[in-house]
Amino acid sequence: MSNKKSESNGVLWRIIRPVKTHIYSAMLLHALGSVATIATLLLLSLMIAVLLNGGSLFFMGINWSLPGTLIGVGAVGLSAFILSTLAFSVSHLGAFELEVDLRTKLAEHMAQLPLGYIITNGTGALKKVVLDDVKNLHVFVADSTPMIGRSFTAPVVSLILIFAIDWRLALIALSVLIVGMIMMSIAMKDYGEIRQEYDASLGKINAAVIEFIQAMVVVRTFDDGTSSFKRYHKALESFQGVFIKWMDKCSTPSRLSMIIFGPLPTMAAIIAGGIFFISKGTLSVPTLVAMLFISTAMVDAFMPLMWLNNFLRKSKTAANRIEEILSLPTMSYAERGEVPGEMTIRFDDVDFSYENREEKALSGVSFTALPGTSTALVGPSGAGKSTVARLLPRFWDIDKGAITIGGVDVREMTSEDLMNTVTFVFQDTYLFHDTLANNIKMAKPDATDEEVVEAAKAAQIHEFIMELPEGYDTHAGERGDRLSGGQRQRITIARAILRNAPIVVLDEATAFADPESEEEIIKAISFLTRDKTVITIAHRLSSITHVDQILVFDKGEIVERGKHEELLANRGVYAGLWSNYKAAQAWDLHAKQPAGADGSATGSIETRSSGKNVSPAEHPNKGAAHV
Amino acid sequence: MSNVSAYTTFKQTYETGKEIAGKYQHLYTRSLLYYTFSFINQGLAYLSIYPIFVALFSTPVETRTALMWLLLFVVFTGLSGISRWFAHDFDYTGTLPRVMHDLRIQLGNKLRTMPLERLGRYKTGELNASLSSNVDESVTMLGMISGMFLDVVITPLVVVMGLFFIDWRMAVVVMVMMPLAIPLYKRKRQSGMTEKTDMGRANAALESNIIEYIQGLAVLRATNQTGTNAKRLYEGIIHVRDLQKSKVFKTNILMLMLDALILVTLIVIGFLGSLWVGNATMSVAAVAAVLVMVSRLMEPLSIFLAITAVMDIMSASFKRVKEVLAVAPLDVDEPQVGISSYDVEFKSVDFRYHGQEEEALKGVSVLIPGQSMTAFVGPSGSGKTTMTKLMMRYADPQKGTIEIGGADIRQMSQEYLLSMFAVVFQDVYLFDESIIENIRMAKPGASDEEVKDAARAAHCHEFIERLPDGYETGVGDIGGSLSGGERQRISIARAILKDAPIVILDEPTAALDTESEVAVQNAIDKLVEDKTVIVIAHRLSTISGADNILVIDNGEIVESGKHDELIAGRGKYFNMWSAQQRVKEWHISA
Repeated sequence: MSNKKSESNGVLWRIIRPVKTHIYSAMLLHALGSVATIATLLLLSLMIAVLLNGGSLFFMGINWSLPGTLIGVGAVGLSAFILSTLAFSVSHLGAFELEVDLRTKLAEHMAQLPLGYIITNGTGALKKVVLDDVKNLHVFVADSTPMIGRSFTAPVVSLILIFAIDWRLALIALSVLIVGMIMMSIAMKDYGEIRQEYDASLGKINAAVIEFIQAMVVVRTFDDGTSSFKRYHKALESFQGVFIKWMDKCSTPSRLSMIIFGPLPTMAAIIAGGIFFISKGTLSVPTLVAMLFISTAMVDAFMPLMWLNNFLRKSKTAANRIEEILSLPTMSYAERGEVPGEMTIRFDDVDFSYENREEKALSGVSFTALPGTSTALVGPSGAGKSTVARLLPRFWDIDKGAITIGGVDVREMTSEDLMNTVTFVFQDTYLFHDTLANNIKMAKPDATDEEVVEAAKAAQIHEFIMELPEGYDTHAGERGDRLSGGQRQRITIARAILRNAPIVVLDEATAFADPESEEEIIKAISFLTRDKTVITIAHRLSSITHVDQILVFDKGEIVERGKHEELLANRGVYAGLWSNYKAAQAWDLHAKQPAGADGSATGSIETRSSGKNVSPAEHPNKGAAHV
Repeated sequence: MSNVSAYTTFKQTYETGKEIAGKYQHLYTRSLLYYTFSFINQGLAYLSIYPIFVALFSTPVETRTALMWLLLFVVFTGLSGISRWFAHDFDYTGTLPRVMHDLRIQLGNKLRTMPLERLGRYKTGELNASLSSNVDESVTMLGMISGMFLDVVITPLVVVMGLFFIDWRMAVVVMVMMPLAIPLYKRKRQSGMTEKTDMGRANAALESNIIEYIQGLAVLRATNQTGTNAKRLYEGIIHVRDLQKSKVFKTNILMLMLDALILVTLIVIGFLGSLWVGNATMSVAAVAAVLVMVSRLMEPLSIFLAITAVMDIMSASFKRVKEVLAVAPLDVDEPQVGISSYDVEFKSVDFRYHGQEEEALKGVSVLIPGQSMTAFVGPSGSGKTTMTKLMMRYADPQKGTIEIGGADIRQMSQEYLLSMFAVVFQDVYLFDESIIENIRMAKPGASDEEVKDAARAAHCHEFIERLPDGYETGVGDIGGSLSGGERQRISIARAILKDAPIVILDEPTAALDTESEVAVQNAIDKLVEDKTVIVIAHRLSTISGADNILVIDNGEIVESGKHDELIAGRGKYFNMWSAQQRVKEWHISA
């Protein structure tokens, strides 16, 4: 437990290390500021002594006059203010630099991670780290680090001072403090354990909430949310139980410690001691005043510490998430990579498994795709087709074997070269917040306007673009944009056409996500794949009857390969898939109607509505309704 | 003026607090009263330092008098402590968890009755936040923060009033200095606000830069525009920094001035005190006592900003909670009626989605006869799915009515209306519990045998039996290992078990691979037997046997009839049909 804690503290400090100079300066400045504040209070009590003494006092080898003391009070008070201002300015500046530093680092690091990681984790989660978690650390560095400087300095300095002023009263103040700390430690006993239980039940609430909300739309038609509500309710109850138990357990010591850490008990004890020692003649009245000023400063410093704890926890989680991304191993890219001379694709005995999964996604996959040929990947979902398609552009790195293009291992190519060699149409329907022209140009920044228009024409999107009021200067991605899925798809295909990469990887299912513009998309894709080396994940088997080779996947292995006719003749897996496909295509949905449908239908319903109003109770599925 | 605004701030906070506490608000009020009493006593304790000092500063020292006043100090301390103890009842006797629980139950119930269209308008995560963290943020600190707030307000008030009895000039000094906190505090909040809008804009821009960067990584990598080469992202990052830099002094100075206010007050008291002691109009004891009392006000004030920041978070969170709670449920018009058949009729229905200019449905009038199969076809976004949603009262149309069996669906209870429908969507939602329960939820009282019969009819009995624990297998345990087709068949088993008279199929096989498709098709054939069937399908051959085909375009029904009639009509349907025939002939080639 304690190990884990110091570990995550370590992460936090490691993450904010780049601005450590700012942080240490801010802490030091604010510590000095708090010392100056205490000094001001001391000088004020000295002033009382001077006043009592009739206007001047010889103390610590200096002759203090009233005006001199007052100037001292003013000067030290002002410096306290200046020091804290400086402290906060420095810490804020540090926080701003930290944001820039972390965000740049994260952006660079993410660019070198496997693309697969980015896709699996999703934009939302990653964005949250770059934006919100970094912002959380900003708050921590800007506001908390100076406070930390103060919170540790003020109690220590005041403790030393009160002992220097009068050790007897100091002991009294200290013992009150100790009683308070004991109470606090009783209240915090088992904190870790209870906190874990609390967090666990809070986690359950979150899970229940997510399920409850996500399912609401789908489930309403089934159970009116009753059954999901039950689980939500159960999670709430268990959370409430844990929370109440926790509060109950720490109730007495917490309340006591809060009362003791208030200023009054310490003051009462010091005044009582003060009266006693003054009556004995062993204490001067101004000393008591000084003690009252300073002793409570020690206790006061504890309150902000509790606040800080809250911040600290939040910052630690943020730091952990940032660290998690930054510590992911990047893909190593060759600095000056080799460029393949020709486009023969070879998978050589490739093994691959996804992280956190035991079974292999691919095992011993070998095949060759010659330049200018097309290869279709078929098989049930989860068989490994998509994995093959995504390994070629290096979304992930393989565990064993080699993937080569023209004899060059994909790992030996630069990221830029690889991306320019292999273009893919699957998740890539993303449009940038820029004009349509620039979105297409993205693929080839130095392309001329004619080239862009040519690509758009080939992608069957030119006409549509010309119909827009601003044509190619229309902004994509703005709210209310009129681009349908198919249009966006065709713009990304235009991008791919412009890039003119010699190898095209295609996922048919994604390509035809928008059935409306199916015909246009087909034309666009036909252009894109012309004279290219093509790897396609095929779903409509009728489209691949002419390809050069079909690879049939099952459970991560290639189980059959060959041309359409050969495979059909084999009467193996592919032949089965084919007949299945034919059957699915021929499916014709029809509700079997009993003879004389009309009569029997009304008849059965009339029985139900024999009364004036059919109450819900008469419905056969009343049981499903929640009451 | 400033006192008035302090009062309104306080009153608002109190009202919000009461609202959050809901049915426990009497406990909240009680807790605040205890806090108030505690801080009055704290102020009185501070004030009794004065007579103690007078006794101690006199020569000779009047020990007995001092001890008497000390006794009073202790009494005030005790009273303050005891009432503080009771003030914490709100936090420690389970009220806090109950308040949270109550809010979450209310929110949960709201979600169950909210129109689905309204529900769909929330962004992913927005509602999660309302139900979990916003409730947390509204409630957790409620008692504690209100107490701290009272400390800042009440203790100084009592001290100032007491000061009038000690030395009215000092009272005036403190009265002038302390309220300075309020304009300072207001300035700080204001600059905080403008800073927030500027910053808010910059951060929103940065957010979209980040999203664009992450989503575009594949493209950006190909053109070597990652890291610091990603110009737009980098500019966004730098812009945020520069904007913050330009404001840093302004933000901090006010906070620190507020922080330093008490110190300044102390120094002023020191100066004036020396002056007045010099002209013998004030005693040293009084100066010392005032200094000690006022120094005690320093700490609460220095965390005042932190307190208000937390209060801001509290009320902002609660505002979001309240917004959800304020959503009006679909009302059911009286009298509630029953139905005479399962004919579904649209009568000149106009419907527009919230925030959209264009109407999704324009004057749609159609009769969908019971126990027949009707297909909706047309381009995506033409209004097919909208029509099925409106039948189930996903939202109410702006104009026109929808009737089932001659009765307006607005006159049916939600349970009754929904009990008539079984829907098979493209996406399937399975709950994290056993498969048998996932099916049974369609008819909670169903016996195991009934469930299994439904599963058999949906062609999923076999693969379920092959799972490690058969029907008792938890969906969470096997998670991803169920294929899309298997999940879809489980959802069809649900629908079969429900045995509702109207079945809606919304592209149920669109997301499936060929192999699962056949199995799902078989399951669907079972489901639609003897039902009123409404089907949305892209592949026209699937629905060519329908009793009636409605061709929908741009929110209007443009053609209707049987397949042969529509083909003969050579209209929109004919075009769609021919395009699909051409596509079938397409081959991939290099």
